[in-house]
Amino acid sequence: MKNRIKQIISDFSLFESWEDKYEHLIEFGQELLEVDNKSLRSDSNLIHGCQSKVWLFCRAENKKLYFYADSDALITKGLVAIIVFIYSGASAAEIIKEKTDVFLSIGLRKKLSMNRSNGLDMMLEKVNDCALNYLKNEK
Amino acid sequence: MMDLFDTAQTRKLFPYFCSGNRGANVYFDNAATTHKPSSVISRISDFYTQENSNIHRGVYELGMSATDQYESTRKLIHEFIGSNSAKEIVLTSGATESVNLVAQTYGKKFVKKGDIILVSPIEHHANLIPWQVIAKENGAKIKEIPISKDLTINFDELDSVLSEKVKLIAINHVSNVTGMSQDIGLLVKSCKKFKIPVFVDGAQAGSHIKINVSELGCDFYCFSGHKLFGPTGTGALFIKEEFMREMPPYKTGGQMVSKVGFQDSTWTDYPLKFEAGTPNIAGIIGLGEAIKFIQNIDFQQLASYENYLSVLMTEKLAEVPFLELYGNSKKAAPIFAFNIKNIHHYDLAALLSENGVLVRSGHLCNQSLMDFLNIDGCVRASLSIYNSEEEVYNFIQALKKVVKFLSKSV
Repeated sequence: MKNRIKQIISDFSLFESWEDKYEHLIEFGQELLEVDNKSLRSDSNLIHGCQSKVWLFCRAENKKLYFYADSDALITKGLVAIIVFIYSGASAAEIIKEKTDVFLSIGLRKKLSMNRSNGLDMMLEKVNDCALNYLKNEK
Repeated sequence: MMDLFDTAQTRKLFPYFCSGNRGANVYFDNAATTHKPSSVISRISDFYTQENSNIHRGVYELGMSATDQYESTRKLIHEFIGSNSAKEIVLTSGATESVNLVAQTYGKKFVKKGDIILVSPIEHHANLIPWQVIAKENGAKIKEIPISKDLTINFDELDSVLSEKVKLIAINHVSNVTGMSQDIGLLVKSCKKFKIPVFVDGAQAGSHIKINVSELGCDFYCFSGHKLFGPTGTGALFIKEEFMREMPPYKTGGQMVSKVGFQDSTWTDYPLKFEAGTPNIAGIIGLGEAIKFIQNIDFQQLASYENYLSVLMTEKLAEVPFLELYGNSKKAAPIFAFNIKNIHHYDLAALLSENGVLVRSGHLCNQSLMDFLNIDGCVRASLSIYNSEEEVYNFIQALKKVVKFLSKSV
């Protein structure tokens, strides 16, 4: 997971203008996540309270967690794709322990703010909740 | 009087626009809150630095002076909205508290099981949810005021929903999404037959059109201070005197009592019986300054200037391909809600912000209107007296640039 965080930070550091940064973010979301993933777009996966719709689903396999996501807005899709990329394949304990604010490091935290409009906070909270639930059920 | 067509002069009255880079932004989110003129800001600052005291209590000069200042805002609001007396004005924290106050006092006393509260299906959440709550508590029902496709009251169908069972009608004066106004006068006349009280949410009206509650004939009217150049956490509620008398208090505590015993208490006279506790004194005094600021505006010139901006906005928005504008007739305020085909409103607003254009997106606290329009949200650009022709051009230029950028990806 540390390497994936480094990779994201390194990739985004190549872009200075907002156009390039957002272009990369949007492309990242479109390349990583499936287009109109119908099975994922269910009410139970929906993160409530965001301006755009965000669906996030978590599955466990061999003690690792895997995340699947979609959004109807391009920027939000890019944001959630970064989350999926970083946390998928990590253990629940690793996810809870990881405190790097990647969105701050790539310069998007300040721009998009951790508010309800893009739901970034809620996406990260859901990832953390998935990890906590996994550990709880494991016991 | 201010010359509104001289935008540069108007902007000089607002410190926000003189504060370096921020002033360079195109601020088109005035329906959310307006900026504050220096007269309002310095009035609040002066109060805290030189005049700070509680009100309605101290017998010393400072306290009496603060009371006078606070009460003078009530008088200014009475004159501003044309009520019969200042006693009909309750000073509140804003429109939301005002709606809740009426729902929890008038509603609690007069809305009984089986009764109906009529609410339009195009209301801000603040003018819907408090009615839902009291209707549920009292076993009453919420029903819709019929609205036409053009987003105005359908007066042809209105009679069919009016009856003795209807105990209140709640509607906005000017829409927070479209800037369109409703014909409140005609609605009041239509309700007379069944003596149905009319509650008007005027949150978006005061900084754009002249309000006169006596001419409108409504029974309740509310607004927020921060949407008309005043401080946040301030507002006012007009209640016709006949209801003032009958309505029980909203909150209880200090200031609103006449006699307090250990087992029982009696209330002071209205409007103070609705103002328990220490209010936002400095804010209300600042609101008085905002009202003075508005009273220095020629409303005919205001209508003319805002109409000029609206016509320009409409013309320029029409140049953007696949743009759908919602409710663009009978505009009382230069508020524009739109979507662009295949582009998400959130993406548009986020990237407009990157280009220094500040607008709102989402359901705009009006999900029922979104349902009515069959959309899940939109972009809203809302203008005010300090916005200029140049800003309209900058906004359109940024919008076209963002649309082009996002179109590459869809």
